Amino acid sequence: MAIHKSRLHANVGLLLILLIGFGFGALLLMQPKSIENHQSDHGSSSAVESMPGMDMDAHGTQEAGHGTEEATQNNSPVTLLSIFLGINVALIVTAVILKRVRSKRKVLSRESAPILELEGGIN
Amino acid sequence: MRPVQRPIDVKISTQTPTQIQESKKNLMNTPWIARTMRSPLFPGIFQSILAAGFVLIAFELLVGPSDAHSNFGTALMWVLWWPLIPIIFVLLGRFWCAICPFATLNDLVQKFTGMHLTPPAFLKNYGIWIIDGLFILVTWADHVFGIVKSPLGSGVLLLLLTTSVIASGAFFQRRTFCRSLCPIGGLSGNYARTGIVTLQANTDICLTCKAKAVCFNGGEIAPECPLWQFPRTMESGADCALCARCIKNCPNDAISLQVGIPTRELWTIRKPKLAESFLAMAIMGIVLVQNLTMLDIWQKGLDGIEKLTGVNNWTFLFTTVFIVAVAFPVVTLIYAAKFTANRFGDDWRKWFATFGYAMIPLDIAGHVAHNFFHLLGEGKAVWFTAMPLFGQVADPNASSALVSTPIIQLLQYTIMALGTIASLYAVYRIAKFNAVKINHPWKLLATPFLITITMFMVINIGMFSLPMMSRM
Repeated sequence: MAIHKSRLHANVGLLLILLIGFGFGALLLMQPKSIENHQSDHGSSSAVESMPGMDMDAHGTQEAGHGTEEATQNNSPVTLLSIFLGINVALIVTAVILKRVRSKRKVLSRESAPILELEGGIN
Repeated sequence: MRPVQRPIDVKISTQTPTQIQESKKNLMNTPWIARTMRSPLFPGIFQSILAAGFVLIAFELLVGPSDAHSNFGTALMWVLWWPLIPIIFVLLGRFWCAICPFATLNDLVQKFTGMHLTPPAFLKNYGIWIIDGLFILVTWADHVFGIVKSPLGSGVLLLLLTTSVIASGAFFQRRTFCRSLCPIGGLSGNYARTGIVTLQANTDICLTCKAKAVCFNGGEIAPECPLWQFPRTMESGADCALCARCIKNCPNDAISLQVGIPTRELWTIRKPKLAESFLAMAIMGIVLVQNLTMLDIWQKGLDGIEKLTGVNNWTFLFTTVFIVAVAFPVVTLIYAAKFTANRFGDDWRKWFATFGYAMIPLDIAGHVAHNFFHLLGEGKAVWFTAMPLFGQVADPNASSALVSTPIIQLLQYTIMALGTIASLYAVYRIAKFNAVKINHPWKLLATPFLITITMFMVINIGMFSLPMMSRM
């Protein structure tokens, strides 16, 4: 209950950074890559040469993204969405709980304030 | 208290803020603009349209075709939105931030569950550095994980941003994410300095105002300023999203929308920040990497490095090249600043921060010129990828180019020329202002920075003259 305000801020900030880090970690795990995949991802030199006028080159671009597709197809969007939905719901629920705790603390401190004044007056 | 010394040649205006305001073009004098800005539907109507577009893009990216070539979400995000965004920043400053779907989401979460905590001090103090780091990280991740080329990768990026925005909106006040964490926010902040439209308060009226900073704190008509800006003391358009909340709240109609000379802000910054100048130089490096990876010589270069070093790990090789490319403009400006510091005194960091802003027009030019290739060279991809949604089939052999390569190149060279002129002029104005203070000719002070700008202009033009690979 008695969480120091600045400590809470620091923790929440840390949580934010961890979340971003977690996301990039998830990305990293999602798409393990070899140099061959990367080469195809970024197109081959022949794809560039066969692109007079920088027109869309079906050949080059069809090759590109292959590696990514294979790697990402293992992770269904539904699973991904569920993970992200879970994290977001957890964040919102945490915020709601902390908000209630804070408002209760405020009410308590307001209730105790006149008593303290009274005690001070008596003394 | 020491009196403030003014340079001899700086003309001190004898006009009152009211006269200055009246002398410029105030868009709030145009009835329909004033009505729009004060309307309760503004900017909500734009936010709703963009939020719907965002849902469509996210849906397509996550559950649409796994091939970027035929994904409508990829086309909308990387062929239409991304190329247009720097142009919007130049024309309308940071207005994008007022209508951005992430900002809308932040406000919604905050409204229903927000704890409204004060953001941690480190976010306030180091926010720009965090943005710098995230921007570089996202660009690196794009190449390493193939975010642009993988619809799911782009979808995950959106989900990550969504999560961060929800976290920020649920815990912190106002738009903490937009101000201290969003990479696009950082980019828009820097680019918005060249913006044509800026918000300005009439300090004559503000000094007599009894409304208890309703423009900053919010009132009955509109909520508080999302980016913690107080119009009366606001010096820059970099942190103003033109959301018009302050315009609605102001009981004295003291806030105006001024149309000014683009880039003017670059040489009138009172407190230059190292992190903002660093971002300007890092963006220059990022654009160089983006251009480089689309060239034929890129793969040849990587093969050469592989043969030379025996290292065949693509990620390692790319990361090395990426670090060198991003560091190159930063180091160049550091050298220019150190040269100036040795010659004219003062800390080199001061010169780096002061003159770094002058690079922003060249940054924008390089960015826009690069994006012209995507927008004009791949623009039809938006239509082609939309066709299957309406039961149509696109011709697989059709070109996605809206205009021919020579026209794109002509536009690229033109925009580079404009950016270079604007950057050179900004250096001239900054040097002229500072030369008076140090009692030296402005030409001597400006030379290292003029050389830096010219060098990057030549590198960029050289890259644009080579054939580039298509994304779609």
